[in-house]
Amino acid sequence: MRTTFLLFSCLLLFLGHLNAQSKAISGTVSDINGDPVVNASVVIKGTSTGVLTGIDGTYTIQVPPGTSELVFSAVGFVTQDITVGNSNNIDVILITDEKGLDEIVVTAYGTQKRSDFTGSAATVRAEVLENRPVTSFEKALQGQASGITVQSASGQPGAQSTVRIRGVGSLTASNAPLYVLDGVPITTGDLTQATETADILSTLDPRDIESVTILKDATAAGLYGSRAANGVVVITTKKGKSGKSLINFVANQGFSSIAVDRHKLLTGEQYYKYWWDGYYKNALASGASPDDAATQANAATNTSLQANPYNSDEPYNANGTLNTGVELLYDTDWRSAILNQGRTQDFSISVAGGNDKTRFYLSGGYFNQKGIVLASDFKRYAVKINLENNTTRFLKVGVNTTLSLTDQNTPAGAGGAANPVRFSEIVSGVYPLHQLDADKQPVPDPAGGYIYNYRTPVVFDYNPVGLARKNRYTVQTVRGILSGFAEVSFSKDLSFRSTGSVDYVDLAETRYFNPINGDGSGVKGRTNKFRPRDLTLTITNLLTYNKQLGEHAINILAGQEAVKFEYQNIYANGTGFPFDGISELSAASTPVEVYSNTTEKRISSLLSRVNYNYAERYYLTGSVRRDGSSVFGEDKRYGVFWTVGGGWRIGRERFLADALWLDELKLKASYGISGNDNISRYARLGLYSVYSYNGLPATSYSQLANSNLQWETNRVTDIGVEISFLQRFRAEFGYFSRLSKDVLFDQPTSFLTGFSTITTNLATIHNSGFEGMIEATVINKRNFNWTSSLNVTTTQNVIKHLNDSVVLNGSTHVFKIGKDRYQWYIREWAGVDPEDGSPTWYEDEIVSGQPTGKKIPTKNWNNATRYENGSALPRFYGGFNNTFSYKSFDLSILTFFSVGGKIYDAGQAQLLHMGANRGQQLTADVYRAWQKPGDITDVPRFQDRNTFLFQNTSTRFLYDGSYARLKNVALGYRLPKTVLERINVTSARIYVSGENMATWAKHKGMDPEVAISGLPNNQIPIIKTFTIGINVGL
Amino acid sequence: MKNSTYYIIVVLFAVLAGCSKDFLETKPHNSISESDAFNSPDKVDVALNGLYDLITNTNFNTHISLTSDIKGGDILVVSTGNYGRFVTEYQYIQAPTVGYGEDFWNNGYKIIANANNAITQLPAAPIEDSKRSDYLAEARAIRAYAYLHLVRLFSQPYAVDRTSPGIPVLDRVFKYDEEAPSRGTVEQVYTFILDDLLYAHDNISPSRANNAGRLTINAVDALLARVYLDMENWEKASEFAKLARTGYPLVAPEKLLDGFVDPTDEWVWTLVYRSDDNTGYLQIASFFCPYDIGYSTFRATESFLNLFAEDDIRRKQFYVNENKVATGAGDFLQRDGIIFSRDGYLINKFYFRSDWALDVPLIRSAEMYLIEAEAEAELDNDDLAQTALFEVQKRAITGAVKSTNTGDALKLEIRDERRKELFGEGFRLYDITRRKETLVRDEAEHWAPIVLAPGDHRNILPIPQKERDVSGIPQNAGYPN
Repeated sequence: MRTTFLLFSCLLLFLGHLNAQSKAISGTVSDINGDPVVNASVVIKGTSTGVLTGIDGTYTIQVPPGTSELVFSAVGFVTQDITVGNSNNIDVILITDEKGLDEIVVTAYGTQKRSDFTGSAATVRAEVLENRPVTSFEKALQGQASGITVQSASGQPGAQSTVRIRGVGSLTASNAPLYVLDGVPITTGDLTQATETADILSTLDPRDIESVTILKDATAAGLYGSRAANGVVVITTKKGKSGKSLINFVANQGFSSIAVDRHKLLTGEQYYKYWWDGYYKNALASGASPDDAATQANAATNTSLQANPYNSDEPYNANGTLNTGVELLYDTDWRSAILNQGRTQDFSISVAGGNDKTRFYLSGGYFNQKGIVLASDFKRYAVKINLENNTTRFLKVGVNTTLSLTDQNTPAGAGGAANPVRFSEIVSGVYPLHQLDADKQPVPDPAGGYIYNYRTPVVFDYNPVGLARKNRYTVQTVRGILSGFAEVSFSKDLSFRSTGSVDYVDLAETRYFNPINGDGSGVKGRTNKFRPRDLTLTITNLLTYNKQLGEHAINILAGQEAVKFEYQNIYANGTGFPFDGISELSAASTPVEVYSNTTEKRISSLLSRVNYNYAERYYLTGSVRRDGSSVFGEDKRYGVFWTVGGGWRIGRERFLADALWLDELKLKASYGISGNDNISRYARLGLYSVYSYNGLPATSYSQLANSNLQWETNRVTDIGVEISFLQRFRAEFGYFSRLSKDVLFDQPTSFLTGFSTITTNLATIHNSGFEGMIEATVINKRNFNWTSSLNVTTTQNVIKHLNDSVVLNGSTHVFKIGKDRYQWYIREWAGVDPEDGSPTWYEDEIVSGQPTGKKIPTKNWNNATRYENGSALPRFYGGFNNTFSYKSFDLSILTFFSVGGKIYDAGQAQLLHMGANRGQQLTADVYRAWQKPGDITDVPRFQDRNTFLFQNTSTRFLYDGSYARLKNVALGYRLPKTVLERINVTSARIYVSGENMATWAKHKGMDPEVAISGLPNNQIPIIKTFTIGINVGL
Repeated sequence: MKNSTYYIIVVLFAVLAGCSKDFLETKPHNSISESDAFNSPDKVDVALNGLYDLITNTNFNTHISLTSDIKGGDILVVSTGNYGRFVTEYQYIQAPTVGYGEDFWNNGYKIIANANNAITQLPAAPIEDSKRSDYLAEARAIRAYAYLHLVRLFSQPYAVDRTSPGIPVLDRVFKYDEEAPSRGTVEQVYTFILDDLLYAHDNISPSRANNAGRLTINAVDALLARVYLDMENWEKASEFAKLARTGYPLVAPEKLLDGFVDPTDEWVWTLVYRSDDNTGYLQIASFFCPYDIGYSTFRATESFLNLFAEDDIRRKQFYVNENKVATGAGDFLQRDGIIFSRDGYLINKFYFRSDWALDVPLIRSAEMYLIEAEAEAELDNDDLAQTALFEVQKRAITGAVKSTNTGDALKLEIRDERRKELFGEGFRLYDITRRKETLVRDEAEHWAPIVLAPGDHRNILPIPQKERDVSGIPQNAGYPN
């Protein structure tokens, strides 16, 4: 952009000439926050005549008569053409130009001018991240850049999201990208052991982030070597600028509810009647008279459900209607019983400023999100200090610090009985929320309200509402990232920078089960305390040499890095509490268990990179890095990773010099090798673990040795083209190929070894695809501006090699050569048998011991054959994002879409047990159940305590996972200057926004955004949030 | 400037030097190398202690024991409110990917692999030779114990068809990239087990302490008695049963109502659980627990209850504290009367105490008397059989009279005595199958009635699919391939 601007200016110089008779026009140029834009250029259209704005953003320009338009431009802003009318005053508000600010690209160990950058990276600006009601920034990235997917399967505030860059190349080793904060790699993931999920990234306040850059190819990320295999996410936080100190204050409030409607459930009344109908039909069939059949059905329903919400033991008569005087006394809606109104509060204040010597950025933030399920919330208190000082002419020092505390409550998760979400999906409404007396009236609790009912035959001794008040799953995370650097400039060309950093994560996790009901009742209460501490120390020393010799520019970087990871965990467990409400271990009468563990990992690296260009036209870059990792044995320890890349800015060639419409045309390509060692820190060793049994020390064989374990490597090829033209359009297209070799995998072994898996370098996986991005300034008028961008990524994932031809991946997926990593491998649904209403699945036909290749239906789920049934990975995904501004209003609409990929509706399966589990909830789909011979339906017959296994995993519940989501709509209004001056405020914007406001999914009844495997697991549903807020600058 | 350049480069290299080879040497803190696991006398003893811990794994002894009872017809699992535990087993709908079979297989071979590691490393361990043979005896007996469980679970009984497929026999550490040995025959597995146990009988130190959880000569003899009974070698079964019970007298009858979670003088081998094993609700006592504090989902059928005479103290093992059933409050072992609850009768044999330190009897001398009785009856020594049987009966039944039954009637009486004496201790299913009886489960309480003839494939478990996916060993006949 800067270069195009320069070119443009030069062009104007050539073309322009000055006219003598003129009038003066003056005004102010400001940005959307009302801050003055310094050094903006104001040029008479079609000439080279122009002026620059001053420090207060004002200008005065002499224009000749007949001047129709003025061109306002500035680095980082969208250029505007303004018609000159009769007025002598023209104030202009320049809109931030996203591509303009891309001027500088953050890369591995440094930055580069966008025009000189020949790698593949995508930058997401602060504007997209701030003011989003999310607990961590990565959730706001979805749909914002090509090549990256972000899946948030849980609506728990502070829950972890799954981020993948350019497909999935690892099996056992982590597929998560490396996150780098202001040059320092940081810890990510989830260190909790009892609570549902807590994302370490949520300790970072998204408002402190200036930009997020996603490094995708070898040129961009490769210098991270062993840590770059799954891409790199570089986070740059806000820094102070010299000049007037700016104070910024933000406050918002949000309200959340469930984003996607779930399957309709039967009410308690419908449920009772449905079972009654089943028994009634059976009784008639076995010859009973209608009246007797009704009586038998009443008795059978009461017995099998162990509940009866009516005021009579004989609620229904032979007509299937209620007997006179029979009333429904209660009908529990478990879903609404466990739901809350979600609330978000978000306040932050920052001060940024500085002078020639010192620049600073300080911020403090408070974020509080109450989830939509009981006992689910998240709070964050964060402080940030970034400081930089030019100590002497040749020495610069600085610190970047992040300090934060998060406090999270989660309900029990996954398949456990105490999981409120699961409970509300499987327990029928015929069971009361409160304990009932003989008249089926709720029993008052002396402490207020009513006593909760803990007895249902489905989930025994649990009541999610009661337990939410008594049990606790809390985790408090203290996080400090402190990094300091010193940079010495030996000469204009040579500098040395040394950075040392500490990333400290400390969790205090408590799980408390009350002594009266639920998990703690058997042991009179239980408390588990977990105190893991994760420490990462990094030291980096880099020498940089820059030289420009005529048309030759060279940049050399050489350095060293050492990283030490240490994880320590202490855990204690006690039971037997004297009474409810006290949960510290000192009160436990039985100290059950104490445990501690320490693991370490170290990496030592040497690295170097050379960037060269000729005439800013031809680019060449290469890097090499040697990493030693303590994960591998002595002879496999060192990996050498390298990259090579080049670029050609065709747009700067002479033969295109006449193409004035063309701002940039660049071809680029790169190839490189990176590595992955993110597996268990001692995976290669044959181990005996040491513990105690029967009060004495004990050891047992705990891990099989594999001394051949070595680096997993990625070979990444990237070819791309970048074009921008007419100062309005910019596009990038590219192809990538990522070949992961020696992929680390916990390969299943024969149990005869005493183990079920061993970590090996099992597989080769190939990810490839196309990425495209188009941005356009569609309309650019003085009062109205519309920019639009579309990005699309296709990915193909193929397993190229396995040590065994087929390796099962859990019970639902398979790894197979030629197929992808998330290939479904489940039984295939063959429909409901119209004759008797039984579910059927396919099995291979076997004739005299040999499969004939034909599939035949079977009524026995166990005999059915598992087949490959498509992939859980989408075929393509992307985002379509638009921003508009009209006078003082701005509007942004961000959408995400994902096409293809199959998802499994486990919720629907468990709601269609068709009588297998007495008292377990059913969905309204049961009304489509098979009734009589000849019925064609996809829901089998209802039968008490059936063993059809219809609800077991099969393609019956596998659906197309395509969906599109309105990720965010935000409407803002900037208060006019006149008002601001009166209240002594520089800028003020009020806004309303909606997150996840609408979802269009191919399959209804569940949220289509599930884990990458396509399998949901009773998570807290994803939320939509409506937010209102204000942003004030002083 | 020149000087500072110099200093910085020196510092840089100093840092680099610090990152020498040692920097990348990290060792686990909670584990030791497998090659060091037997390199000192302390480590040997500690590794042998670890073998017992593997037996305590919920997915081994606990679930195997419960599976045998839940399948055998005298006990049933309620159909709801149990998270589906043992529902598959009860209904006999186990399949290569369904049911606990994979856990049993996995944990059984885990014990065998650990024992084989010990057996391989002990010869070179720095210990006295007398200690060495004692430890070897112990490791081999535990290997035999694990094989006995597995062969009974995954192969047809020896008495039904000793030439049918056994399970892979391993006398050494099995490497992950090796070809799996063939299944061989049931007879080959029993030969291997006998070999181990006879070695153990000859070499285990007779001075080992009783009731400390570790194997003793009596426990080894008891395992031999069981093995010979399976093999229908009645003389040897009777002989070793007598040896095994020596020094372990039957305790007073009222002790039968103490909850079976603390060892008594008649426990020949005890599986020790302490609070710090933290087994949770997955304990035998939890499933049988008559109150709503454990899983509390196992029930007895009426016809089984009726086997117990009114003056049989073991009938009281079904008596519960009625107030505690209703309100949850009160003494666990107070015995007011019998209560029917959800599908069957409550059982109060096992005390699900809240400290979870609940030991499990693996072998009791009562079983040894009954083995002796059965073996002698099979040898037509009815008098000896009646005498052995009477030892058990006279303890439990007030005014018991020595049986005068002979022949098949005596054998049936012994069988029913085993049902009454040993229910809940994991014997029932295998008693039916090894005796080639037909399992008939047609009582009203049974919500999944079933009839299984001897040799039916459902009497044994399928080889887990995961094992077959890797090693391809053949599936049991009758199960899907």
